[in-house]
Amino acid sequence: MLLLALDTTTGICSVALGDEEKILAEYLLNIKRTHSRRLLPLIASLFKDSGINKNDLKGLAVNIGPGSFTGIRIGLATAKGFCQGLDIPAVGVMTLDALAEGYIFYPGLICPILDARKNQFYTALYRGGGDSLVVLHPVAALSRSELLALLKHYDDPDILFLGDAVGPNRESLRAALGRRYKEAPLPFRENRASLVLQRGLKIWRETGGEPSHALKPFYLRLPEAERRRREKRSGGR
Amino acid sequence: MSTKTLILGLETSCDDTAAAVVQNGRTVLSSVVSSQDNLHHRFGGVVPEIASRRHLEVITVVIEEALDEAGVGFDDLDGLAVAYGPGLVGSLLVGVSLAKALAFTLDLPIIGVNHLEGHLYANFLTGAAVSFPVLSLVVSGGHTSLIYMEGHGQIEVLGKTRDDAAGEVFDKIARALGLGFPGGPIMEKLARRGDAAAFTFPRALMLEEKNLDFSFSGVKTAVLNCIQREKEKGRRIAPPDIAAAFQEAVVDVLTAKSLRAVKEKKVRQFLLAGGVAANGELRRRLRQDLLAEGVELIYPPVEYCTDNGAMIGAAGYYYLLQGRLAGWDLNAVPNLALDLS
Ligand SMILES: [Zn+2]
Repeated sequence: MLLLALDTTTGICSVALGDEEKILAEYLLNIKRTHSRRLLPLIASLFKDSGINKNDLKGLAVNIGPGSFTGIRIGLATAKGFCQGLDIPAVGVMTLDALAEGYIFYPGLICPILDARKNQFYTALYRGGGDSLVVLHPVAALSRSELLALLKHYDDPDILFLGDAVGPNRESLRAALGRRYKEAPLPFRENRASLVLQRGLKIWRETGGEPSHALKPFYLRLPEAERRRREKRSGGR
Repeated sequence: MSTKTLILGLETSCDDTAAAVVQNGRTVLSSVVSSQDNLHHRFGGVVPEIASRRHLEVITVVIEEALDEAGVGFDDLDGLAVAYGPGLVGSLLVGVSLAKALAFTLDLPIIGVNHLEGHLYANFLTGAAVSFPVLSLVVSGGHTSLIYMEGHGQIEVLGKTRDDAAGEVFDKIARALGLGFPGGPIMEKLARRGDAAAFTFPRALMLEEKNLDFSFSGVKTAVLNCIQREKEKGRRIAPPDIAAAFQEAVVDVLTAKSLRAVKEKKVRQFLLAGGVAANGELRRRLRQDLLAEGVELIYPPVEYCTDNGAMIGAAGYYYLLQGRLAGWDLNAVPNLALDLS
């Protein structure tokens, strides 16, 4: 099942082409800026360099979030255009699921953390070691203390951290968790399109993908103006 | 190129999601606009994050409707034109990203159109024979610009607003009067019942002889202060009178500056464009004053004054003829200027 995979939800802009047997090509830029300018040239090189005809594509997998609102939209708008033009289905993949997917064999807790600003992480909690990941806590935006409180409920000897918030929070997490703190090695610590591809293929086997109209972003948070409006309304009651 | 060139025009600069199929830059085969007015109403203005989210939800459906209505398929298209600025960056990015992907999959040229130039090209959809050089006034919620155009792609901006756009001021005053959003059409309707002589508001920058720039913050402040004063004095405010007096002040300025530019550049045609071009009083005054100078006024039908995909498709056709194509690295440019140099 030849899929194109896209990930623009963090500072990383990454694209991959592959199927169940092999990743044919993958590009990754971790320079934080202007995904909108770089994404399509990267995709164009992906096809050109691999010699794959875009018309042979069976579908597309895209990271739908959570992450940067703008990044999510660049990825999804590109995915929708691709699927509409080629008349192929798409699958939406959640960032944290894709990250955890790379450590499905890991027997302890898997805890991806992404920078969500406002002193929060986008995070979720999984346990690996079997044929599939067990989701212990669904995707949420948590502060560091909220996350540490959540982790207290588990007595696994190891907790594997990954995601783009690892670097800035390494010291404080290690201080709080001691020897339980483990860190994913660099090549699969952060977002990359081959992880979206891997997760996307799995969803594909279950659902067969969906039409591009149905592809929905996963922002997790309301727009700021809407949040404030609701706050005002409930405060006035 | 075949004699029938079809361009799909996409427009997502602000809060309207629009797509259209245009033939040879002149004939609209379809034009679909999904308005978001109902989403932003409660906020009293466009909320960029909400606008961007909505664009992403509806854009593929809007495109499909435009193709269906035109009775064509993707295979019939010769190019894909998209507005890439000026506008709200998040909104622009949805259109630009989608357009590039679509063009890539269909092996079509991608054409990045300046949104303001798009407004101007709505005049090519009227059936009127436009002959260069022309002057144009693009006046909307985001812009107020006087433009001299010697030919396709040869554009000189003679003057623009130094502060608020004319349409923006219409919206703000409508909000102060509690009239709703968008304010332009509501204010115009009210003004018809009002007495323009009831108040006198300033006509800023009018008297500076050589200047073709606009300023509307003065008249805005004067009107808002006037509303405030009347309220404080406990007087009943007559919104029709305020609307009429305000509209007259704005139309006076727009018309006077346009006339001055016409005399300077000695053109025979004048193109009105942008959302405020739908204002009947502005059309009437401009037509009357231009006629006295022997200049023909052209303006688009109301549905092509406000943001739409047809104007982008029309401009895109002429871009294509000139070979003004974009690359796969086309990006949204929120403060894109109109001068090409
Ligand atoms: Zn506009």
